[in-house]
Amino acid sequence: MLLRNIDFSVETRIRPRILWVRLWVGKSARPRPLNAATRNIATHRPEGLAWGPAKTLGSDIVEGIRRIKAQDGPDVILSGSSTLTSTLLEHGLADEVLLVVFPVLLGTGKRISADGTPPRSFELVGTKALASGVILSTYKPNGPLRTGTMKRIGVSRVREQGKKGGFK
Amino acid sequence: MRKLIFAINTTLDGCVDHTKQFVDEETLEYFTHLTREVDLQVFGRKTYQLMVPYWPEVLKNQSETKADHEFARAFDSTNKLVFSRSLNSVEGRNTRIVRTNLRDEMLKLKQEQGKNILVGGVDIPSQLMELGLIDEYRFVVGPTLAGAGRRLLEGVSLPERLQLTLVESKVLKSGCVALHYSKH
Repeated sequence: MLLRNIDFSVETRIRPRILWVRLWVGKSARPRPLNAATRNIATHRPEGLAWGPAKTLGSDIVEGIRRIKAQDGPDVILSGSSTLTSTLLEHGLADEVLLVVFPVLLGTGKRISADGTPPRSFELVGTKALASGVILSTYKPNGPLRTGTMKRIGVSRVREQGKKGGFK
Repeated sequence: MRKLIFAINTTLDGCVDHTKQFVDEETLEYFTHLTREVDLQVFGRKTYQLMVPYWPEVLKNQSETKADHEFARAFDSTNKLVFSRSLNSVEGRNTRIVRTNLRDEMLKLKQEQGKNILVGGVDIPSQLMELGLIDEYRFVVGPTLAGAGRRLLEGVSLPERLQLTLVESKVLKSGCVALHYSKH
């Protein structure tokens, strides 16, 4: 459903790409919008382009994405990369973030942002709970995390002394 | 049987370090309501020392906001249990220190008569998740990415993936999403 209006799919390096190919290639039930979308691949290996229509983003990924964004056409989606997501956010290239939260605790596994990604703030656009318990939340990037907002409400003596207390 | 409720603020990328977040007034009110629904709060030593003497002092200080005061009052009036091997005494009132056996102590408390039990912090709740003793989860998800920082379940391993049931999701004005789950 989410892919219906999307012609470009920006994907990450070789591994998630392989995952996608394994998931979707050869399945008759694969969604038509996904199959028809041009896939723009951040890859150093041409075999990653086997599932067409596909193009490489070139050696400069950030520049490649800027180039696609500057063109007319449908929206571009990046699906599922912890490294490319951080790069896109850092360069201010993502206009919207859709977070899909499943009602499961795992304890280990891949995280959204690569460690060391600068902190960022977002604006919540909307959220929707599905019958399955999955939460879909849409956010707009709102720049780097502003420490100034800390002082907006209830500045305490403890915080004025440079320490934080009371979980706030 | 009393339910054991775990509540925490988290960023979009699962960082639960309180210094990486901003708690707005409405989030504080959410925690005030939650605290009023229980008659016992459980902490490890680190979280306890984050809360006390901070909140008892807020209660004495007239310059704090109404939301701060209300949380402080709810927090102060609830019985507290601190798991610690190093603390000998605490300055806060209605507080008991327990040294050992988290599992047995919590199982015993859950069998006792009373309202639900609230647990806060990171280490102790993570251990309780591993033990399968938490009945309800409240995650208040703030609209920020921390990039790095403390997460839940570090140093413990869940015996299996923990499937939860979404009970409610609530949007706060600040863009925080309060998620309420129960054990499947």
